[in-house]
Amino acid sequence: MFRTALKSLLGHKFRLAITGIAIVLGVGFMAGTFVLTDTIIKTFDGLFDTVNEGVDGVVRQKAAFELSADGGGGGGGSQRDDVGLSVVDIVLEAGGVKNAEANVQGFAIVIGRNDKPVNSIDNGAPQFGSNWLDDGDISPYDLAPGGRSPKGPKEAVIDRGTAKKGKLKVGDPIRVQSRSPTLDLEIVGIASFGESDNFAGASFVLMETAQAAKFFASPGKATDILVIADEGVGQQQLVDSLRTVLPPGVEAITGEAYTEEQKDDIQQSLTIFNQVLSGFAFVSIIAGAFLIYNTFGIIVAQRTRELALLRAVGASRRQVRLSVLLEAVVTGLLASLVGLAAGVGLALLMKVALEAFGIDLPTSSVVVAPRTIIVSLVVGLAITVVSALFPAWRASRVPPIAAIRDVALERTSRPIIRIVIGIIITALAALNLRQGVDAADLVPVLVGIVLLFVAVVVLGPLLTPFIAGGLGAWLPRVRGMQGTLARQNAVRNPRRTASTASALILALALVTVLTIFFTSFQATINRAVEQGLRGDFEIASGSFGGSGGLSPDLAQQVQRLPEIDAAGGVRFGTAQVEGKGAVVFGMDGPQIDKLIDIGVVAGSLQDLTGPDTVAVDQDRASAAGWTLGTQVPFTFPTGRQVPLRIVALYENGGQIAQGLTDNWFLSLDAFAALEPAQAQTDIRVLVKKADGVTARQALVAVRKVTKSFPTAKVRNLEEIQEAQTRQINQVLSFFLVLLALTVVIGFFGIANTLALSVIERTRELGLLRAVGMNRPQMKSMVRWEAVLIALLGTFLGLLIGVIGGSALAAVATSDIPGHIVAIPWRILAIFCLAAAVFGVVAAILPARRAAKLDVLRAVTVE
Amino acid sequence: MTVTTPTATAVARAVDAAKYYGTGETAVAALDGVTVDFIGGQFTAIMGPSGSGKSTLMHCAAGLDTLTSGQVFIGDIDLSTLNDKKLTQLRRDRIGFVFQSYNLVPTLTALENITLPMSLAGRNPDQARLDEVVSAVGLSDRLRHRPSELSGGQQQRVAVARALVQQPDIIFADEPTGNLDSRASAEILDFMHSAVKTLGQTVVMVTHEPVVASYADRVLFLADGLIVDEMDEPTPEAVLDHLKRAGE
Repeated sequence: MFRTALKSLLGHKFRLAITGIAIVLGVGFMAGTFVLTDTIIKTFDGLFDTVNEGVDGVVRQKAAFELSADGGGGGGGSQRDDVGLSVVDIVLEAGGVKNAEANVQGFAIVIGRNDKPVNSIDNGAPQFGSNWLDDGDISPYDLAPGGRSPKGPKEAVIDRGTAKKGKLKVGDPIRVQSRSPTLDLEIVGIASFGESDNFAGASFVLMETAQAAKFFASPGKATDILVIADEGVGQQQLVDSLRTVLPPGVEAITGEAYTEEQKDDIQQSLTIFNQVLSGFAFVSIIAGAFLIYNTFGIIVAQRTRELALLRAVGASRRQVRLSVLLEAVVTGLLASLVGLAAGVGLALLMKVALEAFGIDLPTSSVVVAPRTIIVSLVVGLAITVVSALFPAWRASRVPPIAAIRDVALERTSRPIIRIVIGIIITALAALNLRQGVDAADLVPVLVGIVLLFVAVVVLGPLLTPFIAGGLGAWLPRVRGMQGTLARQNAVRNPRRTASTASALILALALVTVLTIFFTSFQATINRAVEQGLRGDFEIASGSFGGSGGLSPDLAQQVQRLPEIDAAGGVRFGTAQVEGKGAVVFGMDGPQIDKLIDIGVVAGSLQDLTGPDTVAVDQDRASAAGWTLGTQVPFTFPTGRQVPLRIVALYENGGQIAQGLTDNWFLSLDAFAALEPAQAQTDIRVLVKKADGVTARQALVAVRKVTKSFPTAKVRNLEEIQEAQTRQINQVLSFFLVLLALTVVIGFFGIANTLALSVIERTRELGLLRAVGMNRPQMKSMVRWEAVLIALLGTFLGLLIGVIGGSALAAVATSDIPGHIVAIPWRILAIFCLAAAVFGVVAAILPARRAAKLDVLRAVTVE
Repeated sequence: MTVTTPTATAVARAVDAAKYYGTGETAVAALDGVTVDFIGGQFTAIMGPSGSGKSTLMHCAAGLDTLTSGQVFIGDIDLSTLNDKKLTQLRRDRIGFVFQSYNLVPTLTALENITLPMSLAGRNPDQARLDEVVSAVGLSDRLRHRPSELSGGQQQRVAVARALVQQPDIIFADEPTGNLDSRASAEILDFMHSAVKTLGQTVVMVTHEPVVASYADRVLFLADGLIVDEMDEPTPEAVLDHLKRAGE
C-alpha cells in the first residue's frame, strides 16, 4: 500500500515540485529570518567580545530607572547619568587595578567638503563622538601607519570607513557637527577595528578624553570607566575591591557582565525585527497551506478511479487515508529541507545586501542554529500534513463502485450548513469590528479582520459563481467562445476556484489593510500638522533624539533675526513618572505657544517657563486626578527627583511628540537643569516669520544661520508633510515587500490549479481542438480563467482589506483630533490591474501545456 | 498507383497513405499504403478487426494524425502541407466530427455545443440551417440543457447536429453508436443516413458492428493496414458473412 503511494508520488515529479514550492518559499522565508538574525546577533556578540577584550571591570553611575522597550522612546534600557572624570583617579587608587580609562560616548557627524554629512544621517547607523583610548589593552582601535593619538582641542582620529567615503587623510582639516557648534579639527590619525572599516556601520570621531567630553557628551564626565585588573586578579575580585572606594551613586560591574548587557541590548532590539519577519513568514506559510490543501484535493479527485480500484481490491479506508498522508509527509519533508537550504541562501544574500549599504560586518560564517532546523522542518511538515488531512479523509470516502463508473462522483456538499456557519462568522466579524471602532480598541478590530477572512473562506465556494461569473460577465462579448469557456471553467468547480483564490485573498487583504492604515495615518498627520502649525518653517535635525540633534545655539540665533517673530526648539529625553519610564520633551513654552497648537484646554503654554513647570496630557491628568497646580514628582536619568508643577493641560501632544501618545512637556529651564548634557540638543526648531516679512525673505534669513549648522534642514509646511509622507511610505513599502512572497504564493496557487485542471480536462481540451479551437484560442481560454481567479481573489481580498483597513485606521488614529480614514482608490485599482496581469503570467505555463496537447491522444483516451 | 489527379466527385482522398510506428526491423505498420476516394454524398463505413488500421485511416484523413508517407486530401488540399493553425481551421470549417464518447463540452448548453465550431470561428450560425438540423434531430426542447442533463442518445444527437450544422465537406464518425443501446443507435444511424440522402452530406464512419455498417452505402474492409475488400449496398447479413469468410 505504502509502496503504491510512494510510487505514485515519484511518478508525478511535476506535481510534487509544484506542491512543494509553496512550502519551500514559506519555510525559506522563515529559515532565512532566523538565520539572518542569528548571524547578526553572533556578529555583534563577536564585536562586543573583541571591543571589550581586556576590560576586566566597568565603573559607572547607578541607573536612575529603567525605560521599558515599549515605552515608545525607541529602545529601552537603563537610564543613568554620566560618571565624573575625577572618578578615574579614585579607581586607579583601588587595589588590583592595573589601569583605568574614561570612555566618552556622544555624537559627532563629520561634514564633507560639500557641506553635507559624509555618512548619511538618515540610515540610522550611529555616528559616535568619542575619546581616544591610550591603553592598547583597552582600546579596540587600530591606528593606521602615519597616524598618532589626538591631543588638545583641535585634533581628531576618524574611522577608516569615514576617511574612505569622504576621501580624507591624515593632515586634512575636517568639520564636525556635534552637540556644540561646528568644530574645525585636524585629522591626526585614521583607525580601523581590526579588519573592519567601522563598527558595524557606526562611525567615530575620536578626541582627547577631556575634549571629547566637552564637545561631544557631558563636560567633565564620561559614559563609563573601563578598568584593567592586575595580573592574577579576577574580575569579581576587582569589582569587590572597586566597591570599597567608589563614591555613592557609582557602581562597578565585571567586564563579562558589561559585555553581556550590550549583547542583550542588541538581541532585544533584533527580537522585534525577528518577530515582524517571522510573522510575515507565517502568513506566507498559511497561504502555502491553501495551495497544498487545494493540490491534494485535486489530486484525490483525479485519482478517484485509482483509489476506488484500491478499495475494490481490498484496501481499507484507513490505508487509503494513510497513503495520501504519507504522500503529504514526504512532500512536506522534502520541501522543508529545500526551504531550509533556500533560507540559508536568502540570509547570505541579505548579508551581502547589508554590506552593500555600508554596514561592514566582520566576516563571520552564517549561523544555522539547531532551533532554525527544527522549527523549519516541524512547521513545514506540520502545515503540509494538516493541509492534506481533509483531502485524505475525502479520499477514504471514495466508494469502490467509483472504479467502474465513468465520471468522478459529484460530492454532495451541504450548502445550508456552510451558509449558516458562514453567516454566523460574518456576524461575529461585524460585531467585533463594530465594537472595536466604537471603543477605539485595537484587539476586537484585529479579531474582526481575521474572522472576516475566515467567513470569506467558508462562504467562498458559494460566492464564487456569482462573483467570478459577474466579474467575467463581459468576457464572452469581448473574447467570444474562449471567453465564454474561460468564464464557465472558472465557476464550474466553485470549491476549487475559491480555495485557489484564498491565498490571494489573504495576501491582498493584508496588503490593503496595511495600505489603508498607513495612508489614513499619513492623511491624518498631514492634516493635523496643517491645522496645528502656527509657524512657517521647521528646522529639522534629521534625527529623533539620540545622536544628531541640533545645537541649542541655532534656535537662539534664529530667534534673534529681525525677520523672525518666534523660534522654539524641542528637546527629547527620558524621565520616570508614576513609577514608569516615559518620554519627555523640553521646550520654550512662550515661543512654542506661538508656533504650534497642541490643543491646550487649561492653563497656558505661556506659563511653561522657569525651573519647575510641566504641561500634561489632559486624559492622563484626569486619570491621575491632577489639575493645574498639582505637583508631580519626576525622576531623571541624572538621579535627581524633582516635583514639577502642572501649568497647562493639552489634548493633542502628538503634534510635537510626532505621534508618540505618551508624552510630557517640560519647560526649557527644567529640561536643561534636570536632563543630562547629551540630551541638550533640539530635535526640531519651529520658526514663525515676523509680520510684514515675506516667506521668502524669512527663509533667506534663516538659511544664512543654518549655513553653519550643516545637518539642519529647513522645511516649510509642504515639505514637512512630504517628509512625513515619505517616512510613512518607507514603512509601508517595507511591509509590502515582506508580503510580496505571500502574493507570489497566491499566484503559484493559480498556476498550480490550472496546470492540474488542464491535465484533468485533457479530453475536453482535445475535443475543443478537434472541432476547431486553435492554439492561440486555447491559450486565451486558460489565460482568462486565470485572470478571473486572480480578480476573484483580488476582489474579495480588497473587500476584506477595505473594511478591515478602515476600521483599523479609524481606531489607530482615534486620539488625533480630526482623524480621517483615507481609502486610496487609485492604488486599489492598480492592485486589480496588477492582479490581472499577474494572472496572465501565472497562466503562461498551464496555457502552453494546454496548447501543446496531443489532440489525437486526448480524443482517443479511454 | 496510377490515379493521382483529383477526381471531381471525391471529397476526401488518401493516396498511398502509410503510417508506421517505430523504425527499421521493428517498425509496425498501422497503415501500409492505402489509396481510397471518399465520394461526395456517400455514406462510407470502414470495418476491420482491432489493429487493422481503420481508426488510423480515419484520424489521418481527418487531420488529427499525420502520415509517415503518402498524402491525404480534403478537396484538393494536401493536409501534409498545412501547419497546425491551417489544419485547425480546416477541421473547424470543413470537417465534422462525431466521437464514440465525450463529444460535448460539459460547461456548454446543447445549443452552444452545436454552434461551437462557428463560435470559435467568430461566425454566426445560419439560423435557417440551425433550425432545420435541430428539429431534424428532435432537440428543440433540449437546447438549453447541459450535457449532464441529457441521455447518451441525446448527447450523440447533439454531436451529430454539431457536425451537420456547418455543412462540412465531410463528417468523420468514430464508432458513434459504441456506447448506445440499440434504439438510440438506430435513431442516430437513421439520422446520419437521411442527412446523406436528403442533404447530400458525405459521411465516413468507423465501426465494428455489421448492423451499423449496413446503414452505409459502401463498406471498406481493412486488415493489417490495407484495404482488403469493399462492398456496395451492404446488408447486415452480407457484412457478417464477409467477416466470417475473412476470419476463416
